[in-house]
Amino acid sequence: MSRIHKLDPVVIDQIAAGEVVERPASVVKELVENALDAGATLIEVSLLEGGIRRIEVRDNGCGMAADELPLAVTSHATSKLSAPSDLEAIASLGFRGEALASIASVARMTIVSRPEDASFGMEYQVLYGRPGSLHEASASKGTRFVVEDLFAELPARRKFLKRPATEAAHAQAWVERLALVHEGVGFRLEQDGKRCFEVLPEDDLGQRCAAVFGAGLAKNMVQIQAQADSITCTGHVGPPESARRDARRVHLFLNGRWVRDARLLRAVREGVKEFVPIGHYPTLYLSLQVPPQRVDVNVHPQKTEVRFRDERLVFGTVVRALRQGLAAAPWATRMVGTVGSTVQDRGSFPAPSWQRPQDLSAGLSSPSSREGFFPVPAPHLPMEVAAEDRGKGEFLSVANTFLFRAVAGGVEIIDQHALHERVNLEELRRELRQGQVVTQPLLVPALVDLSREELDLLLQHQDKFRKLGVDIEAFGETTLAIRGIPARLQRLQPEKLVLDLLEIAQSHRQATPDQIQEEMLFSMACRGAVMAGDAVDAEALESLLRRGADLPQDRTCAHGRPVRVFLSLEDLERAFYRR
Amino acid sequence: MKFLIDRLAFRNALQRVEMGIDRKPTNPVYGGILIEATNNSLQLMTNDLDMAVRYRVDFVQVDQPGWAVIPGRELVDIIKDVESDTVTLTLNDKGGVELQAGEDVCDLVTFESSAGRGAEERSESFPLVPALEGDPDVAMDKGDFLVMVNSTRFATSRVQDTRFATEGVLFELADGQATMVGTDGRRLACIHRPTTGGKGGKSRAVLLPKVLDQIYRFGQDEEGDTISIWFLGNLVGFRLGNLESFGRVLTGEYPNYGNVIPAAGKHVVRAHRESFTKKLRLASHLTQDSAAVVRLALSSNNMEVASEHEGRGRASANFEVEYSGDGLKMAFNPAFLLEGLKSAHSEQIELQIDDASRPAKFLLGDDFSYVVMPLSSLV
Repeated sequence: MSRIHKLDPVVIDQIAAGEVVERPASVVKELVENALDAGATLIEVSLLEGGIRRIEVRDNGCGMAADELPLAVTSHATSKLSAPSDLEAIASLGFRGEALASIASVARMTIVSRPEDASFGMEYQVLYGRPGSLHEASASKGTRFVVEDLFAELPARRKFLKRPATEAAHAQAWVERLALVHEGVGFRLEQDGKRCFEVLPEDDLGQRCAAVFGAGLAKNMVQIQAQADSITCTGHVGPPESARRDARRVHLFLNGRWVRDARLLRAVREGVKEFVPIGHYPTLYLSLQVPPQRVDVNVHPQKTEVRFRDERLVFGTVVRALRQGLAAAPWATRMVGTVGSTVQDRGSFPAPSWQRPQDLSAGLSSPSSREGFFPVPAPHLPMEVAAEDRGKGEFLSVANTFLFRAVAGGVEIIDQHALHERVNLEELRRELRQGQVVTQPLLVPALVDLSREELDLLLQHQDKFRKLGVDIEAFGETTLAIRGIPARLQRLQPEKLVLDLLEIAQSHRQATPDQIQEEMLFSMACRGAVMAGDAVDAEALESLLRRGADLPQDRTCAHGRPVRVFLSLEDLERAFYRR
Repeated sequence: MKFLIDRLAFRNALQRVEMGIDRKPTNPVYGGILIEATNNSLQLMTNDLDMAVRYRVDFVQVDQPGWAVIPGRELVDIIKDVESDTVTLTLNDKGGVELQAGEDVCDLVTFESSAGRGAEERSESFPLVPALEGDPDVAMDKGDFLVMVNSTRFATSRVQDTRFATEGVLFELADGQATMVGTDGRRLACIHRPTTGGKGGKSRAVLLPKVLDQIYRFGQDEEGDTISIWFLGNLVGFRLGNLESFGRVLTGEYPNYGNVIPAAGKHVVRAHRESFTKKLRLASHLTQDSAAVVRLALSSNNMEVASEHEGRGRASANFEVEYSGDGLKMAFNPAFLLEGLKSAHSEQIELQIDDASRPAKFLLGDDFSYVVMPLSSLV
């Protein structure tokens, strides 16, 4: 019979390591964060076999004195906290004092460190938690950690490591995250002797985004910013085209710490709603500055989850920053020549000769009045379409779904349903702001048969519907009469709309009235729009495009799908191998 | 089959049957034109299963009788573009058709053909429609019928409704009177005209708008002042001179228009059609496209038509009307009013209103009423 006894400190550390050290990437993260806390301006990481064989992290930080080294690898030893009150306001990345001890307990670790004032360095080795020797060694200023044979003595853990390439990708992700947010610090990552990531200390955020997201995408990212109280939110967000179903391209930082908080992610989704397809996450770098005393990062050893004192304020700021930034983004407006375009040079392209430049039309004959077969000389136009040119020009309707139009510098393709949906949504919102949506009462009420519960539920929302221009009332015990529908939605089928509204009311029982109203507006805008495949006469299309040009944004539909796609001349030339 | 025909006569005939050519045929035959040559006349027929057209051309020199189903679109386009005065069509042994127009020759395939007579009995694949024989169910003045179409067609629904067949035009016969109704649930146009013959009795069908459009377009040119109509179950057949058109009857309910049209209203306004139209047009320049709203304000012998476009400006147009009631304000979709006024038969129109939330009835001519539901602000 085994007796209860106190665990051996090495076993304690190995258990704790389970939470902190999962895989090579977590070692990299902990060591790099230590280097950052030590004030390093250049951090080099090199990995062998994805870090399973060997991880080396070198920095030029403040280093550690000889007497600190053995202490550093014991648990709950840290230089970052001293009094309990410090926990209230944690400003450094690490603070728990577990990381080094945890790593040291599951690998062979060598530390070589030299503080600036010392004339030589010290080397200290720990083998799977068993302290080794401390001796002098040659070293440059800073600290060098070498972690070898991770989990070699713990086959159970080692078994769970993935292929080296996968582990390497995880480690690189961490280096990229930290490089994004720590401006002024250079990062270099080598895998099996090959350099695979580098930012220089002097690189600005734009260059860091380019290194992480790729130069083409980084160029199209727009800056976002919002401030509330003492909370600051800044960042860069990519165009809708770069959105992905997973959140891997979302980089959220709280006071310089990378976090992956489910509720913060929800705030991001809320902020990009209508710009990014539902269920997608944008390419995003977002940095939150919150006073340390108003946030608790000590929720989980990996510190990727956080608790805010005033969640609503923080999330509200995030949502606002994203919405404002996106609304002001060049690709959120009807400007062309920005998204999806590979145009490097914003200089002038010759306008296609079949397009009539509106602002120059006075001096030129239009193609329709052209006599003979002599082409009109193509005037040179700036890349962006002039304001008066928007929503004009000749269109080609393809499959009663897409509208093609030549614009200066390329071709614009518009999805007629998406555009109509966006136009409806914005116009309904405008009417709502002015009081209520204008209702067109029906000569013959439309009747819908429902269950008692469904009828009751809809009638609960009767007043809200009325504001939205939908006039309903009970017609017997299980029949609903629709007496009026929004006047602007000429294509609406009342019965379908009401069934949609019913579904929204059923699935949003917990939602706030504003959320329900938004959902209903979306549904109405969609139901009232021309569908893909509907034949629409030229006049109606013209009118639709004109109305689109009047909107604050007509880049994406209410569900976040794109309304317009622009193919630059360069895109077309590439497609035909002319470049 | 071999015949010689005047090119213009052939072109006109083809134009009349063109609407029955299926643009995306599931079976190539539906995209064809059945041409049958008999004793000095030619019969053309198309059928896309929604509507069918049969047209007879006289004064054709038929050398050999016979029939063939020829690709429709191609034939129509070719005859538009050849320049000779006459065209000769010859069915060859291989089942193809040679079309000769002056110097130009085209060889067309046929989907089915025969050198004998009786295409309509012997064709195996071309969808046939019954012959219009015997007494029609109704006969009426052609001009009246065309006016009826023009007065109701515009008000039909542009989208398919789930419950009502409002994309079609209701045609009703009772007691020697024909009634046509068009509605999209927001406004309704209803017109009555007397019939002049036929079996009489009561009949009712919702007509496919495409057939009415075709009759409206070509009916005026056909000889004779009468249109004869047969109700053939799921089809309705119309005959005007040499033109016979058949349309599918739309299934589905039709709203009870009798309940929708209000009896005489409390307030009566008489206005000049042209002034009203001009003022409405003026005001509608300053409305937002689709949700256009114009506000009519009535005071003693005056109507104000006002509109506002957020971000562009506002308009107010006044004109003289005959009205002696109290001040009355209501809002309308200007497109609805303009479309009605455009179809009005008389220069003087009458507007009957109860109040701003009840349907407004416009009397736009003899037995022609147009009901429009005003827009409402419910808060």
